[in-house]
Amino acid sequence: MKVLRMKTLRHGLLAALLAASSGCSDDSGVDPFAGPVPAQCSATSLEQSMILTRLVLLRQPMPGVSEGFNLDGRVSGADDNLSCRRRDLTSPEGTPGIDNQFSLLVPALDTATSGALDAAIQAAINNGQLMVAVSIEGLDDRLDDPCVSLVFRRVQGRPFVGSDSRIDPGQTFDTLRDEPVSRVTGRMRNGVIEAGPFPLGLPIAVLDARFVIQLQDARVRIRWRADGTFEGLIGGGIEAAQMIATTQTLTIGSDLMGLVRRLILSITDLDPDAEGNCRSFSAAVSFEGRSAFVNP
Amino acid sequence: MEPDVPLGGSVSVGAASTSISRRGVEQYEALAYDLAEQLLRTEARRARAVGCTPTGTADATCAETFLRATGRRLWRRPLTDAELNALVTLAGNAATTLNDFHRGLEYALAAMLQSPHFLFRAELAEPASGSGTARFSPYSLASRLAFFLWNSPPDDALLTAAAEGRLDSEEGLRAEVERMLASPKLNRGLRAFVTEWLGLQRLDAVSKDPMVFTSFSSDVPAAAREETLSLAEHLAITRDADFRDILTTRETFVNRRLASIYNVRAPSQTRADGFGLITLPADSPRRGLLGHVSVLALAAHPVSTSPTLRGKFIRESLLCNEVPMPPVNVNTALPEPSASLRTMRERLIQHQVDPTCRSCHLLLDPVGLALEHFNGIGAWRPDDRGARIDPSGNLDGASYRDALGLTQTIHDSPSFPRCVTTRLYRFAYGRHETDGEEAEVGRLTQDFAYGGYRLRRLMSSIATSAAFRRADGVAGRQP
Repeated sequence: MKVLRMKTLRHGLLAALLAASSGCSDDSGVDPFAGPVPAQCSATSLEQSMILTRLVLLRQPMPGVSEGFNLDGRVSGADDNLSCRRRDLTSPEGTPGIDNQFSLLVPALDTATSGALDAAIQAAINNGQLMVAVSIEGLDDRLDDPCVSLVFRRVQGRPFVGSDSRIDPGQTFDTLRDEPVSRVTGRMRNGVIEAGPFPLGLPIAVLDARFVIQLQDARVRIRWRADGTFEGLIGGGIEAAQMIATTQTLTIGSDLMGLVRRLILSITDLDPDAEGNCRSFSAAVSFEGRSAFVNP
Repeated sequence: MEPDVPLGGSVSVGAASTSISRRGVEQYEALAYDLAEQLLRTEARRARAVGCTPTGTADATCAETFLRATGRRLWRRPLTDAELNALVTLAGNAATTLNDFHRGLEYALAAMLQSPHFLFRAELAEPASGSGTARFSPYSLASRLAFFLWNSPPDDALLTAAAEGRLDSEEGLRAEVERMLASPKLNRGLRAFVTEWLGLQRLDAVSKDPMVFTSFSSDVPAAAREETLSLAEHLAITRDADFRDILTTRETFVNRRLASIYNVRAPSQTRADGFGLITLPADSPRRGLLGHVSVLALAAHPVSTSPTLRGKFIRESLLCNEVPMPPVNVNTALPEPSASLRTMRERLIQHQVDPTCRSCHLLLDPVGLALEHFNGIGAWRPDDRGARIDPSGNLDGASYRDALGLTQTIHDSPSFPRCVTTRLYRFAYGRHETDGEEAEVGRLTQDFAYGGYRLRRLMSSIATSAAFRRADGVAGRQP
């Protein structure tokens, strides 16, 4: 959380201004979507949880194009020192300023796994190794709610997987004790929840690798579809030093470690230090989810 | 052996007649020898089963001790002297030839297992004293009672009661029935009845298109059957409650698999088999039997729902209405969904236009349409591929708005308890009721109602009734 606090504040103000200018308000004349999201939403009995059934590291379908978030609020070109001269991407819809430098490395990961990266992640999800639940708390309305809480946690339990190779909906899972739980408040408009920035610990367990990715100033966007399923994006900054340290715990040969280190440092675009060296890189994943029950 | 074929929905009725193939007999013979070998080949099992130590290869006394006791259990009556002598001689000859006493017993045991006295339930009659009518012999009555209430052979106590003539008296019979109703074995009898009543044995053969119903895995049918049987046990035995509540209760038993299909939290307290009692939310559209995966998946097609099959189930199994078979060579295919035929209700209109189909389908389809919010495996769906579902209807003059309304209508209908009584009567008797027995079914139904629709009481009423003991027209003699 030490990195983008000023930008976060700017975002909050910007969001408040945008919300105010949109002119939406309730009967009291006060726009419930205006202003910063409260740190805690009013408690209601409504709660909806989901289990992530698919997790995809976002690639670039065309050079310079990727889904993701504008994490630093800037549209950076090759001359922007605050982004360490890393050029921002453009969303498939044409929105500039997308921060997802990690998408440059995904093809390398694909190659390193002989094209089985997505399959390995899916297998980890389906066999119960990588199960992340997201609970939406404080829910007052299924479409529009000015304050909802999102709780991310790792859960356990052998999932039932359907013939569509996805975890079946409606299953009950137990929270894994002693694992990080991330909580953030956000708002929902027209079935789309947006939340962040917040620190998100995303537990990863794929093949032999088990670690927690600490996303700084993470953003989340979740669309709750009419059929009860979910889709969304998670983006944030990952500290390069942390990532390098994590990769050192994996079964990567020492000869390759130097290359991995150089690759990671080649995509840093966030959190510049006093000398102008960026200490974090931006990343984004897309996900799908299905309804679930989470036991505390 | 060839499986029993249901007749009029009842396996116990269909089992009254059977055909046996040469291949079936050969397989059964092999199985009989295998079982005998398993029981007598190891020292430990032998010690428990035989109960005496042979003095030599051929020990007629020890063989007789074993065969007399085992024969009584297997044939559910004492063996006659001639039967026993024949078996002892067989055992002795085999033991001498094989030079092994216990191998000899294996042959005699295998012979008992292949005997019609073991394989079939012979119901023998004897004159009822002073009335000019016939009644079942005490051992036949003991078997009738045991297979009805326990779905198993009579235990030693029941055979002893038969031997001592205690089943001949009203008090003696009632005491035995009370003992049997208090036994944990009552669960077996109840489960056998409910399985037959609802056709749950067919769940073994249920298949669903995995492209359409992605959640229907191979473990679902067994779990679905267990849910329904557990609920029946819970209502009829554990709670001794109004059995009509099987249609309307919010309580049910689920494991993790069924909980996911019902989209409810899995129970935290479960039995060893993973099932636990839950109460469905008050606003749940699912209640009772007509919300169970067992019924909803059975009465559906592999790729879709079937209001016709669901209506047929309700008419035949819950209301005991007669539903004629469809005409031979009739085209049962429904038109494919289209812009003008979006819902199942719209597609089924063809049934009501075609005069060949109309009379039956007017009886079936409207009732089954009430369950259209449950897809072909019993999961709830808000709409039918985007089209609004209209679950309202009318059952024999009573209107309902949705599945819960239909359920309540059946619960309140006098036809339901009458139907349960009829089906239990057939299960107990192993045959359909005859014209002259309608009054007896009516009397039992009244008694069922008077007792608060408690199934345990209905079982007792049937088991202790004079009609259950009467064997009019049944020829035979007591062995």
